[in-house]
Amino acid sequence: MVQLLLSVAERKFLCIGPRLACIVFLLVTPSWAVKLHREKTIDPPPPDILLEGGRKLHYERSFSSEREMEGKRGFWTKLVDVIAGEPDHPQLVRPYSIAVDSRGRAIVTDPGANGIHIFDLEQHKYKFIERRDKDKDPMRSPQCVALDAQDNIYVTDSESGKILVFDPSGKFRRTIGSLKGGEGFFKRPTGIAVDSAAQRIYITDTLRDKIFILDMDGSVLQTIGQRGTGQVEFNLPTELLVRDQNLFVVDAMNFRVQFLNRSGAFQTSVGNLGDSTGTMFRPKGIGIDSEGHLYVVDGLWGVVQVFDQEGRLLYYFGSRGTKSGEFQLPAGLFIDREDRVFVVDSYNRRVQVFRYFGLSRQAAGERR
Amino acid sequence: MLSRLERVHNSCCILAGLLLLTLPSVAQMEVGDAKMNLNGNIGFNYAGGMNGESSDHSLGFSGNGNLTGNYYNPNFLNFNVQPFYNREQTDSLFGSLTNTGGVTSNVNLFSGSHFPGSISYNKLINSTGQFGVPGSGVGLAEHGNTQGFGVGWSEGVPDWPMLMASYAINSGSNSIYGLQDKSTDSSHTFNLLSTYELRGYRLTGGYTHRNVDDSISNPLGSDEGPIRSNSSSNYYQANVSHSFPMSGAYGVSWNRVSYDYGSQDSASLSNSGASDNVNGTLVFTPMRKMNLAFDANYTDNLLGNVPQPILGSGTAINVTSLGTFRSFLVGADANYQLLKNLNVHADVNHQQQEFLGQSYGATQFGGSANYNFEHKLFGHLSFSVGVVDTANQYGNTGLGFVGTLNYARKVVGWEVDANVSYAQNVATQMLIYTTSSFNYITNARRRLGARTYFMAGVSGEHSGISANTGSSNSAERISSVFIYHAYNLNGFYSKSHGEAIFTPTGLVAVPTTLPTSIFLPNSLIAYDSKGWGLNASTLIRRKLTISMGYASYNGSTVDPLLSTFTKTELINGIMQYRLRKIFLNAGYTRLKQRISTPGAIPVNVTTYYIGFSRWFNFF
Repeated sequence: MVQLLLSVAERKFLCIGPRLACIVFLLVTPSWAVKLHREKTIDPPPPDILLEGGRKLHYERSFSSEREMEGKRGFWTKLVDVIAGEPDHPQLVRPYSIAVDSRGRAIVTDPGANGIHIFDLEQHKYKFIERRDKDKDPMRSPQCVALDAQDNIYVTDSESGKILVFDPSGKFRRTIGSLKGGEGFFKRPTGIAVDSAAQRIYITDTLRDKIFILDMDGSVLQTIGQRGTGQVEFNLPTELLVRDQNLFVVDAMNFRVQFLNRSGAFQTSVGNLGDSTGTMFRPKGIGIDSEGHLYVVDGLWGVVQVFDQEGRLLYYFGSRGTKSGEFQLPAGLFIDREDRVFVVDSYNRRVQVFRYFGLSRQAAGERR
Repeated sequence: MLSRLERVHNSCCILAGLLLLTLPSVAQMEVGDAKMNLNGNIGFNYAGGMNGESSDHSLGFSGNGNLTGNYYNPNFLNFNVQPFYNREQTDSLFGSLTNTGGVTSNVNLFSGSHFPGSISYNKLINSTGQFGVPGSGVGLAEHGNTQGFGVGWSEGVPDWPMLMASYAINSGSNSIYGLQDKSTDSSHTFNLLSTYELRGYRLTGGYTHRNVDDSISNPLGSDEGPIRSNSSSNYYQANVSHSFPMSGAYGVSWNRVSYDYGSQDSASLSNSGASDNVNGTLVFTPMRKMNLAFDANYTDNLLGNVPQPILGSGTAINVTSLGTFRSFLVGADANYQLLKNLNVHADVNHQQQEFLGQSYGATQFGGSANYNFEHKLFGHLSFSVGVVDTANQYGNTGLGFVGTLNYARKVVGWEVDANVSYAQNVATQMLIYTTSSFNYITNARRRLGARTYFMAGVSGEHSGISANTGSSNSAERISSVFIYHAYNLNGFYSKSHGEAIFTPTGLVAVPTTLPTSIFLPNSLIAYDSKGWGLNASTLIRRKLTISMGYASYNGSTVDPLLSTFTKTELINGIMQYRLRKIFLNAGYTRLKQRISTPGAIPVNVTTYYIGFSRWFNFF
């Protein structure tokens, strides 16, 4: 076939039509041939973790790029893909934190890509927000993300020392913590939580070992904590979470999670330094499920440990690795209203989704 | 240039090869224990050109590939092959002047074992390059072919002596545009090195053999025919060292260089020699802030190792014989940290040299101070000053000075740094000659606004043998860069002059640590060059790349019998637009080059191309 095409091309040397036809055919053939035969290797999902009382944790899926958000591709789309190649699908580079809004969209901060990925898992849409090249308030290193009741997106920028606020469509709205001259008020803002009911924003300033409580306009109302190892003292606090009347703070280098009430008074703490189950070495993201269990990511061991309100270890899942259900340097964690547990598997450049089937969900299922 | 039919034939062969590789690709992803990946570009271009009165145009294919893989296990055997055809246009200063093809490849064997080996091969056909001129940003445009093959193997069994062996063959030919004559060179290098640690003694032994054949057509000289030369050298080395109390170490090393050199032009010349060198050192730290070093060195023929390494390019040159040459040196150094920011150094050495039937002895006393200063107001400043006093049997030969200055500071938004070094009357390898040099480099940077920057720099170097008035080499360069968002504009101006030696790859400045009197009178060429250039480029939305540049070079050379003037002007523009995996490429190159050598033809070539290519991940 090749010889035939080339001999035709040579005989009709000056005739451009047949030559171009040959070229198009020759250029299309490789991609067509490759597409026909390329096989995807699918990693088998990990088995469910069966827990006491019929509870279980089920692995659902993982996602890492725009490509997985795409719906079914039509004939013409496929044809264009064959001819021009598939477009460059943006993908997670070094994801860190995650939040899921009321519409089921996963918002993932990515300091490696200097932006925020929005994965619409239900509408199969994708959006990437970046402000790297903006003259005013550029986003340099997005760290943690939180949402308010209107699904506005609040992102801490640890490098510029500011909080950037975007509306649900991803449009930039305002900056919190911007001083005159463009400098950031915070030294290194990391964790963030928004309490829409109380109209408060909670921010950890890791280098100051403090938690700042702001109103929704960005005015500082109160600060909590100082450097130390005692109660309401922190050693490089990172992530935080507001749930019901409690404020949960990851006190990273004290290797614990402190439970405070909303005014900053100490309630209890979970965790201590160690390399066995139930202890913490690099605590990262935290979340609370519908039964009030605390999920704590340990970045170095590649596991998520689950504690009850008294600080007793219930179980853990994950191990270091690249397969489904395994993690490498996991970071952020978010649990939505349906008890789906989103774990940012940072070094594997993906987000893994699990679902916890607790007693309340099983009861709801039985009622149905 | 290749004829149209040849280009079509070559294009078809390459394309057919890539296609045949591609179609059964799945079968080749894993063949038995072999795993492979292949990706690359296949493109189609229209190209045209004008050379003086004649013009031509053609259609043809271009492409490149990247084949990587392993057999059984990457630690057992892994390989990488990168063939390319007609790809020079997208990544070369000289754009579409030639249709370069070639391949680079390497295979690593048993890399996970104690006996790893490697094989490499590369070939470039009809590639473009520059015939270099020292200190000039632009040289004469040239084209040629190169190829190289290398084999390496090593042994690293624990507790055994470590052994490394390698053999490489390289050859090339090139011709300056406008000249018919070609320069060719080929070299063979064999290297053997072994290290071992026995009861605290670190032992090293090695052997290197190198053979170089050159045929140089010197367009800037008065030689009528090519100069053919052949040189071979053998280098042996042995070292032993051991740790010493007080954080110290002592060691003895020996090396021997022997060489044969022969050249043939209008006359035949040959030269051979050998040099033995023995060196002993002792270093220790008697106090926390002080360290001492003692060394002794004996050389029986200092110039025995000059011909090959003098130019750093492996090209052999001839030198005049200085007869017996012996040198013996003993010395001591002391460093003391006087203050946190202040370090002082003192040294003394005595050297005895014999050459040209004379005996010379000299004692040198030297001292220097190094000071580091960091201040909010004054920025970062460090400087060192030193002085060397030399006295021989005829009396004191005068003081020598050395000094360096480094300064960095932010001044009203400007980041400024400067580095200056100065040396006067510093001894060379031969006691009776001293050298002086002056180097400076200074840069200024400023952020003018959001993603807007300006940078400028000035640098220069002047050096020469103190006794040879008018023999100094100098080079000066001014450069500037302006960046506005995705737009980049830069320019430079440079000028240089001095004395150089002709090699197949260009003129190489004569090092000023050696007196020019050791070179044969007709081997030196005086050069004088000026060059300037401007370049503008942009990358829009990470898809569209546009770059345009202009460069100009004026030079003159004087060998003892002929003065030559050269002038080169180059305009180059490229554009690339990416749509998914498809690239739209276009380019334009215009080269004007004149050499005032009899027989040289003025070059006035314009070439352009437009085409597209598609990237495939074949398997």
